[in-house]
Amino acid sequence: MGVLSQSPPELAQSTERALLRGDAGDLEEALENGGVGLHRLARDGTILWANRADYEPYGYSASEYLGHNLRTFHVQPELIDDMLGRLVAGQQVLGLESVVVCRDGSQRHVSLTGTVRLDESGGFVDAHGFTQDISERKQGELRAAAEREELLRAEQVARERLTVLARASDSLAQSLDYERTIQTIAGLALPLLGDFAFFDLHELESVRRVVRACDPEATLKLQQTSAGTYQPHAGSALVSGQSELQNALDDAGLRRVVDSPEQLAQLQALGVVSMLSVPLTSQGETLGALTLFFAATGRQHTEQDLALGEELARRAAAAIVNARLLKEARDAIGVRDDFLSMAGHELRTPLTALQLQILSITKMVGQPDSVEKVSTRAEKAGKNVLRLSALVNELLDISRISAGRLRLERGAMDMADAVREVLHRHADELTKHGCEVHFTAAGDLSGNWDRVRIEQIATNLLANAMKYGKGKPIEVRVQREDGNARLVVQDHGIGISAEDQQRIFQRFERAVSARHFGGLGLGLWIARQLVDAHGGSIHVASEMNLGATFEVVLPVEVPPGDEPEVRA
Amino acid sequence: MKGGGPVLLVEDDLDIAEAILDVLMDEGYEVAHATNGLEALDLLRSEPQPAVILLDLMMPEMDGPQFRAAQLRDPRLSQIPVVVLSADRMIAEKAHALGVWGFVVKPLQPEQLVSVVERSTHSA
Repeated sequence: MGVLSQSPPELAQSTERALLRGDAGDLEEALENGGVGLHRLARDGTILWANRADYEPYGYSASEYLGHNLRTFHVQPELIDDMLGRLVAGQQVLGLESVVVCRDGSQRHVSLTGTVRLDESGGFVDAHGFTQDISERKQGELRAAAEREELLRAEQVARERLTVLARASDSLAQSLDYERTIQTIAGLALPLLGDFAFFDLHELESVRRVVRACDPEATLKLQQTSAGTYQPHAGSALVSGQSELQNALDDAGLRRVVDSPEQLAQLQALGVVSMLSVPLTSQGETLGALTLFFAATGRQHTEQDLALGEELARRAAAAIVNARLLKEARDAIGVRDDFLSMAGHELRTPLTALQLQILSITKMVGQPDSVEKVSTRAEKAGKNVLRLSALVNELLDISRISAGRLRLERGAMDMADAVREVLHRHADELTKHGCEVHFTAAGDLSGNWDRVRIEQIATNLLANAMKYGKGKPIEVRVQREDGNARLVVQDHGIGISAEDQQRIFQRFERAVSARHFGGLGLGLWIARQLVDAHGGSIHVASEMNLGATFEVVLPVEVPPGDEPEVRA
Repeated sequence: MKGGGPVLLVEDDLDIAEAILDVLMDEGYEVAHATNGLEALDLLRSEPQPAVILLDLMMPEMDGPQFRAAQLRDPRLSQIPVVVLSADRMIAEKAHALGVWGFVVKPLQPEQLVSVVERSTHSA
């Protein structure tokens, strides 16, 4: 055996040259020191003779090798048995591949070639053979096979990823329902990118968390420690909008993504090793983040996982945006339906009174002494017509403002005059509601405003005060303050909770359920739109059961860019 | 005073109440008015008992059904016939559920209103 520094044909040439020269010493030298290992074997495999190249490269000495059986140097002795069997039968053996155990325990791949010498009667004399070290070729082959396998695996991973993406698109497309979309996204990347996942979504003031693991039991356990909603930690993908890949995850990393102390303890107990967090963004806004963990499987996230995670997040973000738009549209339709049904009720009320009055007038006409009664009844009917037309005007204002068709007709006016006029106009109603008005005016209250709209603002605030402060006095103050005029309407009614104060200026909102109070409930919204159009501001201060104070501040000067329209 | 006695109207909308009051007073009825269930219970405890109660369903403080429950709990009041006034499309079912004498659908026709008051005040 030996390292092949000379290939068999070269060896043949060098021995041939030695033979031609008739130099026996040279021949022996060529055989002994040639790069190829040569050996002669007995019938049972005992090594009768071998050159140094047959054993030294493998770490053996002559005494450790010669006289021993060739079988004992090979990992699979049966291969040698098989070779001997074939040689004894008179066959040649060419390039039999085997593995030799070196003296230090390492292994080398070899190729064995042998032929047999027979006597005249055909009996076995001995076998000759050479050993060629093919370890390098063999390793090359093994490397190539490994590379092939690696390629196949990469292809399979790529296919799996494509499948995950396709499946993600499918399941996201299946439903436009907001809740279902959220649940779908939480499980989207499992199990390929994680053993379990947190899906966080910005909702109003806090973050909502949906947890999901590969198996339902683990999901339940994770849900038990999740707070459900929480304030996001600085540095999380949710806040930074940046992806994060953390192998060798430590406690500091875990603390950034947990929503409760119990959850931290649970993640530590689960032995989380790797985390991948990808933000869901739409038009520069971070909607949420999907965070994936490997624990029990001991896997680590790779750069490819990050790329796949980001692609999934892109698709999920689009699905969230769509589901949100649909939900908003549906909610808006629902609110509008409620409003329409309430508006219908409000319109029917004066109609009911009107119908009774008109029919009773019809009955009276022609009866003796009916003139006075008819005229009183007609006056009452007129009041209901006014109420009806006020409601219709409110409806028209809503649609005008919503369509952006509100135009101010500014002119020189005095706010104290306008408010006084409004109070005068509603004197009867105030009396009927048991509300005594204390009115004060201070300073120069002239300005450039739309008188009709200023009266409307005052009317709406007064109507609100009467409605919710029935039987209690109302203070109305107008005063000049620097470059502004201030209108304050204060009642002593049921008040408005802090939460409701946020909503009452919004469209289709009112703090108290509709059935208890008349009107379309849009008086404050309209007032705010009119104040905004004048470049002013409106605020409310209130405590429950202690009444409410509405304050309107209007600049006396016309804001730049909002000059009065030139009218023909 | 006409018929079997005075009428108690329980209605929160002042304009509707005024119109109903006018129609019934034209017919010679004596009518008392409360703007919600609580006010009505107060009136019933101090005033002479009415021959019929005309009851609106949607009102603040105490609505129609709540008033009806309180009325039935008080043996001195439970026998007074009640006529429900409502624009609710399910008025017939609701009236049945409340166990009242009758109902009138809003918008009201004066003849219908007078007729139902007439009949109910003579029903007892």
